[in-house]
Amino acid sequence: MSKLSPQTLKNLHRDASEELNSIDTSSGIDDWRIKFLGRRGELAQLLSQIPSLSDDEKRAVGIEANKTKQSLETLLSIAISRLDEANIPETDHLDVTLPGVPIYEGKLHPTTQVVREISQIFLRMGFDISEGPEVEWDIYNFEKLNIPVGHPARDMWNTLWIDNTELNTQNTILLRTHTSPMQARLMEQTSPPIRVIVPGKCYRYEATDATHEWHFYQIEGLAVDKGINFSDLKGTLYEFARQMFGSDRKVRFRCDYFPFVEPGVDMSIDCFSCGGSLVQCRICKGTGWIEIMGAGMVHPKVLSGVGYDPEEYTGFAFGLGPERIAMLKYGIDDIRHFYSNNLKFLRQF
Amino acid sequence: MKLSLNWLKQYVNINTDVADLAHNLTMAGLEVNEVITIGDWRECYVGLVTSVEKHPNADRLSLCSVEIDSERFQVVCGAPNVEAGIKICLARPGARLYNPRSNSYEKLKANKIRGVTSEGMICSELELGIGEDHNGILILPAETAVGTNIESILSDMILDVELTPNRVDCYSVTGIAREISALTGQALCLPNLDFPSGNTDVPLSINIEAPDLCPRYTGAIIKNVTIQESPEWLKDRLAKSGLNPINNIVDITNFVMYELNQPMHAFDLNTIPNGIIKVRRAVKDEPLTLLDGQSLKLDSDTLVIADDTKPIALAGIMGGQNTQITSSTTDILLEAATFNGFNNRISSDKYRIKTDASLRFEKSLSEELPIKGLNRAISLITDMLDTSTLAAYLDIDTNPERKPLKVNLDTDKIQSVLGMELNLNTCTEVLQSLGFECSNVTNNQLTCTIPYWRNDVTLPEDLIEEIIRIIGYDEVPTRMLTTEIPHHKTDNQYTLKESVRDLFVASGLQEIISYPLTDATSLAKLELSDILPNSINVLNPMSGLYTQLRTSLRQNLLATLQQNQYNHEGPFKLFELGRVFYPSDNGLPEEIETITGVCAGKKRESHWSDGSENISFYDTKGIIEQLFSHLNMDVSYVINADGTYIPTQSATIFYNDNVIGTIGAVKKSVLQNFDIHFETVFMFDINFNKIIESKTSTANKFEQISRFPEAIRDLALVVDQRIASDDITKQILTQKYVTSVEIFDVYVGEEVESNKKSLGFRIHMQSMDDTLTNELIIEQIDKIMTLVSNKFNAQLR
Repeated sequence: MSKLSPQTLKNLHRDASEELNSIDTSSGIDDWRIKFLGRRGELAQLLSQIPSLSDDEKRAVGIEANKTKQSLETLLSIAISRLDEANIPETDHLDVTLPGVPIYEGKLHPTTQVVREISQIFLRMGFDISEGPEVEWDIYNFEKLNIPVGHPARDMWNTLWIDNTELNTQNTILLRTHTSPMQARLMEQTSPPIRVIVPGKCYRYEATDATHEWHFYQIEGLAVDKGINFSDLKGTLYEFARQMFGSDRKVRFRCDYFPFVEPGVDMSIDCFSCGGSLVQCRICKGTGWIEIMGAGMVHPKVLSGVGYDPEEYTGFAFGLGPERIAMLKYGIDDIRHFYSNNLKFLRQF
Repeated sequence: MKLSLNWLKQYVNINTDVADLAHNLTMAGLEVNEVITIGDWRECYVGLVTSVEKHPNADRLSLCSVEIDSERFQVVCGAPNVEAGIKICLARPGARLYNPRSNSYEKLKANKIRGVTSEGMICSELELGIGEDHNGILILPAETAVGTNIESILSDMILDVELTPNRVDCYSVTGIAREISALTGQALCLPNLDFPSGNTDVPLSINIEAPDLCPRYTGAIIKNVTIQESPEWLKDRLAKSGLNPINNIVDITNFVMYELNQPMHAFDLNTIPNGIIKVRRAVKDEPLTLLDGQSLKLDSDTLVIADDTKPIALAGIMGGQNTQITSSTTDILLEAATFNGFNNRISSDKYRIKTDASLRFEKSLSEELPIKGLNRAISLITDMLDTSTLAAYLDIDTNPERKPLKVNLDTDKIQSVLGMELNLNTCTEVLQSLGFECSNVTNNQLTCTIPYWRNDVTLPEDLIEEIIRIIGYDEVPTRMLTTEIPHHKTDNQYTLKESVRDLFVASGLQEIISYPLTDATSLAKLELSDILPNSINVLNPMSGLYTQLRTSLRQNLLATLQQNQYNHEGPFKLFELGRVFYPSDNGLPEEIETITGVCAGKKRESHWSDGSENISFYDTKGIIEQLFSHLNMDVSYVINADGTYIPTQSATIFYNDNVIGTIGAVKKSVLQNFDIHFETVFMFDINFNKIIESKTSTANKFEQISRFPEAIRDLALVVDQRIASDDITKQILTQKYVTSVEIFDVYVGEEVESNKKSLGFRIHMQSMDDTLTNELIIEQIDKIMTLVSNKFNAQLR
């Protein structure tokens, strides 16, 4: 037997841990424990020499002996749990690749999703949300928007008219052709400052095709106060386009006509599909630009019609189609998908 | 409107790229939808036919000799109108020509036809792709230079311009030319519109009897005209604008309309007795047969052109058959007038006739225009037909004193509309380029005289748009709104609706959005006729499926389920939050926000572990219980809802004694009505407006939390099957210390009597002040037992 010293303890530790590493049965571990840590094991035998040591030697050996013992016990418990883990019965093995229990996720209609996305952008710019009636007086849908009866511009909105016999009135009623009637309603209900958007359903007497629906959504916007001008319109709508379509999209405004704004414009973004380079581009039809919305400065006649002094107050208005934006965003090629309620369509978004 | 670039070039020099031109027009408000190029005629040249002989081997073919630049080519030709001395288009091998047999463009090759080599082809209009005519070859004007590439003679581009209703001036080629002139700085060159000379000695009498509807009427008589096909240039102009050439006189009137915007009409003078024209309202039920053969019965608001006794034209819309130009017409009466736009539109709507003339008149044309159109038409006709002479000329103007509108513009206005400063000299230049006259121009103000063709410009804002659309909106600065943010008056209804959508989606429901129009048949399928209100009808429905405003969402949900039942695996858990429309006493219908859902089929998507369980009434009820809990509303359910549901498996939902909705299993017959194959379908239908009305406060109030332990006791009670568990729960909740009651078990079966059920109640008791002693708890439970046995004849199981 070797003489007890810190070095012989270290040697013992080395030999024991090497031996332990190669043991892969629980009986082997038992044998090992008895051999090294048992009452008559190698460690105990070495330590039995302690009485024969000098005091200095005792001190040095004592520290090392404790370390060795603790370390071997730790190694033993690790070895035991290693063996335990290795010996789990077959039936306890999970096939972790099997699919989990599905949680059926409800989804918002893509129009709702896009209306919200658009609304959020304007809410961040201090706009509020309001809604209005889908069945509307002719006066609000047209006349208060500077489109009197017999005005040729009425051809821009093919109208579904409502039979007013059940409604106790002689006045003309219709399904609103745009959300713009809320411009007049809001201005009548409140006084400036106004910053509001109006999402909602609109209706047109129109044959449906890949880009036309008779039932669709619009989001109207209106900002009225002292000192609002076209540069505010540009800034607000630029910011909308930047947040909606990303900051690398180019934006342009071109002259367009809506009777309730002057000047009137439409806003387009540059085609993200072809960049304007492809004559046959399905999205921009080779123009390089995609029309996003109509806008303009609220017409003085609309302002005076609701009792505002157009010399005191000015404002801008805009209107955009969420389905069109959803089509661009998701690459949907036919607007008729939206309200056909095919789950194979709705579940994609 | 479609128009040819060559026609535009007649009035304004265009030396920019057409794509740039189209872009500039679009930016300025005239959206160019499409530019169609007519051309690509390489290897096609003007040739002179020097001789025509018979083909040696074919009776119908001729052998022609065609000269191009002193070179001669032998060409086989099958056209009947080929003859020596004419100038034609010769296509040489390599040219791309239209082949009507294959309906495509093909490359021409040198070829032997019936044994004779043909070194090219003499082309028809059809083969060149410029017309439909294939009966003969295209004969070019005699002055055309031989050897010229045909491209330089025939090529053209067609602009398809989208017009806005405010810019009626741009319904004409000169109107668009004026825009181009303003955009490019090239001078506008209009045709001579002066009065043409002539001896005006033929009697012509024009009486405007309705000056409110016809402020000006001009007419001229031209004698000795020959009605024939129009010359090529005229047919070409009209065809490229999409008009069918008819005859020389009608074509001239159309040409002038497209050129100057003044609609015109030509009558056969000899059908108008004594040359008397009256412009009057029709007599009620007066008949008139129009050029297109349509017979009308007129009403007394309709403006007509009449002779001494009867209508001969629907004023500003269409001429009558009785006075139309025929091949035997020799003398004509030309009409150019101004008609009231509003009345014209009402009439064209009433008789459902939209014509090129009415599309212009309804937008209110200027009284300055008729005389210009008339002069132009007279010049064109008398120039075209040598024998023709102007024989009468009359201009009846009911208001010769009219003055052009003047509008003042100042720099403050520009600043307030655009948010930028514009130099008034720049403004003046732009406005003048568009035909506006500017006077009294100072540093900060100018006066603008509006030209007669721009009736859309009446306000300073209109002038500002004119200026900025030419300068370009890119010049306007960009800034964020700097004005005060309004105080938000949060629309409670909108916020609430969106939160409910989120809640339902989180509960695993799919949102749908359906059409708010429906038809009586679909609504009848719900078997609800006793409670649904009268529907509000659409006056002009687009289809029989969408004739009325919906009074329920249920038919939309059930139809959606039906439509998807075979195409999708489910689960089918759908909802819609939308409006139904009820008649009301104050005009507009009541628009009721409604939330309706259907659930059918498997509880969840199929899974290897299980997934066979079907959705139950209680799954469905759980969804709306979550809704009411979210809304902090304590609702109650009373068995039996309405005609759509199975009476014993449905409930009416009450909140504060008001009905706010229904829930239950849909009746078999209703499922059959909708062709739904599921055994059981659950539905809920909630009036969201009532929720909004009855909700007073949205904020939950904090309740103190007891520091003392809670005691829980279970009671299994046997009661009659028909007793509502909720009634028992409510009774237990009235007892002291009871903080909540839940049902942990429901049992029906052998261990209880038939017609009885066992309900397991878990009762939570707690005090704010003390720990409840066992004695106290037993005492309370005894009280509860006495209560429920008295009230519900309940027995401890």
